[in-house]
Amino acid sequence: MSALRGFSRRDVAPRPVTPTDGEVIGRVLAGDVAAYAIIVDRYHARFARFATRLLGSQEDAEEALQDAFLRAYRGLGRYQDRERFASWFYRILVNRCRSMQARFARGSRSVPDFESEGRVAADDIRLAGREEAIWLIGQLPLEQREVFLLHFVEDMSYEDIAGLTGLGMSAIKMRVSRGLDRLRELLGGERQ
Amino acid sequence: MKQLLVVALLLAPTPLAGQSPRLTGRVPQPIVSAVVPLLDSARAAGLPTDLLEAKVLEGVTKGANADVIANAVRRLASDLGAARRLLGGGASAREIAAGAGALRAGFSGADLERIHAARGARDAAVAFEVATDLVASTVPVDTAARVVLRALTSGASDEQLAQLRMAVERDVANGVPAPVAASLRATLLFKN
Amino acid sequence: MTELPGNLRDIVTQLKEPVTASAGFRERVMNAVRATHPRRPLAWIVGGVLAAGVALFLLFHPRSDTERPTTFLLLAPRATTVALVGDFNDWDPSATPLQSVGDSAWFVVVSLKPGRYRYSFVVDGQRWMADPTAARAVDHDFGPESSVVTVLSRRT
Repeated sequence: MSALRGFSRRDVAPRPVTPTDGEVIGRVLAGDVAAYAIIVDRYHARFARFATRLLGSQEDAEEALQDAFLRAYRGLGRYQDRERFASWFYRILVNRCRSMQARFARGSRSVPDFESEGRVAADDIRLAGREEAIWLIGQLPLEQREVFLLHFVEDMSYEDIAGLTGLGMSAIKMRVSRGLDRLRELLGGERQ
Repeated sequence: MKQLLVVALLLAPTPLAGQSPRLTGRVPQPIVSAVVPLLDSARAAGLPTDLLEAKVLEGVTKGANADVIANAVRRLASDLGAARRLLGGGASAREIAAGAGALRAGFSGADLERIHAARGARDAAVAFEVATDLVASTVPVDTAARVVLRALTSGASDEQLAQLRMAVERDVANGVPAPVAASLRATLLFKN
Repeated sequence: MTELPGNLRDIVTQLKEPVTASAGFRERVMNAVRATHPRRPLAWIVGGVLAAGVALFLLFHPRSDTERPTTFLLLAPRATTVALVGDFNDWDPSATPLQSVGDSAWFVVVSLKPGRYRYSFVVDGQRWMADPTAARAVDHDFGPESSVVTVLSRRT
């Protein structure tokens, strides 16, 4: 087993400060499975909104997150502290989101609920501002939506996005630019 | 005044009212004069005039003048006739319409014949439509023809052809060059 | 940080609404984690096959050859009326009006037989809009562009 940073030894008193990801992982690998709940809380708080907006549904997002947490747990032995846990986990999560989307994709539209095969009567559909916003970004391809959400909704800088996703700066800028073009086009019926 | 007009239309032996009831009341007289001879000769040639009538109505709704509409009808009638000649007597109405669309998109008569032959006994309408849609997604005509033929010789169903189209449209929206998307998706979907 | 125009800023504001975990999320995950037996590759394989089977079933779920409800949706916040015109209604602007829901969305559900249809939206009786989310039609006989929708059927 690799030597992880922050692996707490028995002869050191437990520290009162918040443990780092590496420290928590060390404890989990040493047998303290319950410690993994810290990772779950921490990364749910960090990515729940992102996953929900990416998939357009909180239910789907939680399923993807749950799946991602499970895979991350099973893969902890492989995770060698070579990179930040956030980046590693993020990639697992986006991969789960992508699989989920592929499973439920109908046609080229990616957001469920609006293509409900006519079973929903007109009165049942109440599109509030948020639903319209979600529908709108649902029209972006997943790669563009991903970067749009990270930059504009999660307020991450391009550098932070690069660190998280492993994408190059020009790829990130291109996706943001394309996403904005597409959104402008979709809203373009109401030109000023 | 309107009532008198309606009565007049019913009573007067207009060629339109008898043969093309769909157009009655919606098409202004100058356009009627321009298209009736075209519709008559198409009908005499045994072509599906409902498509030609739809073209007239589309033109009227879009505010086109008599010359533009007549040209469009002439062109469609010519494509329908050519498609029917190429596909033979057993072709369905949808096949002929789809074949005409493919000719309009730039496929040659030889392309149509090859696709039709590759489909065997089954209806080639979806194959023609998918080929046309690929071209609409900016796939070059020869690439689209090759890709559809390859799919057909691998025994692709209509549903698989539709999947191919949707996948290519998604790829192109994501920035993949269209001919690359078409070739790759065909390879992935139809491994011989 | 890139500057956003007003209407896109509104959208971002909506998307920034926080999302709280559903009750029991952590418990569900931890139960699954505790139940994990790492050295059971067979379970993965069986699970994978089952998941693939479900996915394929969902993808090729039998559909009838009769009409299928098809939804058309357009965002047009300042429109007074929106109509759908196309091959299936003789391009008649009075035949299929869209209904307004929410602040800016318009929609209608139309039953269509399997086939390929060209269509477009007419806003306020005079402004043409192709569907920004759909494929464009390749034949433009007349000025305004149209979109294409293909309604699928189950074929053997």
